[in-house]
Amino acid sequence: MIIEFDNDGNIFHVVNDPAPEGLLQVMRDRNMQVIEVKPLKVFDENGEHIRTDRLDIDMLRHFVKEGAIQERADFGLPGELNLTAPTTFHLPIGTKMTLDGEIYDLEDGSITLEPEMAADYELVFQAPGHITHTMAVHVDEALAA
Amino acid sequence: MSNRVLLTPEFLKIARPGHDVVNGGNPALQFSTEWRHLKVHAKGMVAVASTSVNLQKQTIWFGKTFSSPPLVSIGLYEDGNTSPGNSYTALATMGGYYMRYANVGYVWIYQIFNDRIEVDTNMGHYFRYIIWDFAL
Repeated sequence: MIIEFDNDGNIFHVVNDPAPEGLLQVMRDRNMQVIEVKPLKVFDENGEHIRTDRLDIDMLRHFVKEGAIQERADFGLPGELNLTAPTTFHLPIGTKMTLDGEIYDLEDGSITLEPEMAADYELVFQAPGHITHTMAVHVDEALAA
Repeated sequence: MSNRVLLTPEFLKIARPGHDVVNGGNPALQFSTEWRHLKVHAKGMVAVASTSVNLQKQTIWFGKTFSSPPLVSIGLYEDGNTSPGNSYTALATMGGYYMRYANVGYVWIYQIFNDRIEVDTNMGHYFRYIIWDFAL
């Protein structure tokens, strides 16, 4: 299996096993960021091959860090939030939040949500090494000014 | 009684029941090693990020150069990753052709070359591909 990824380790191309012979070198010759993930052969105590384990790559759950496949961390945020009072979340430094198509850099990782206008909102949080998370925020009544 | 099997240093041919492998010609055959067989050269999946405006290019290399653009099957998904999303389109392209899909400003262009597929698009999507190889 050949994995191609970007500068943040996000996987965007998976070539299934068996990958064509020579393809890995072709991609490396073109300076593409790739790693090869080989099936894992499992042997018993007598040295008998009992099975071959293949990694099931999930582009959303896995990413590449230091040349290896790793599981993304979870932000630990709820999927839905009924916002009735100012609420602060502390997220990884460098987290980006998207709201209404606008991307906000949370430089120190913290964000305080305040119920200023009654509406339904959808916030998307992204950070390297983390599973992209969508949180639906519902505001029933705005806070009095 | 008809001859069913013909084996030579060059080929193996088997005729269908009731047909003669020597005199029946191709219509009589059930199997021949001279027929080209389709095998999978490579398959994979690609996630293309959305740009909304400018086209971005994604290249899938074959690892070899075919004598002519190969047959490629492409399935597009609007969402989902390793399993099909609710929106699924199955497309098959003959080598050398390119497809263009334009819907409200979104464009997907797939071009098949002898040694690669080039995808130009401005809409985030996933696609699975199978590159077929006609091999003897």
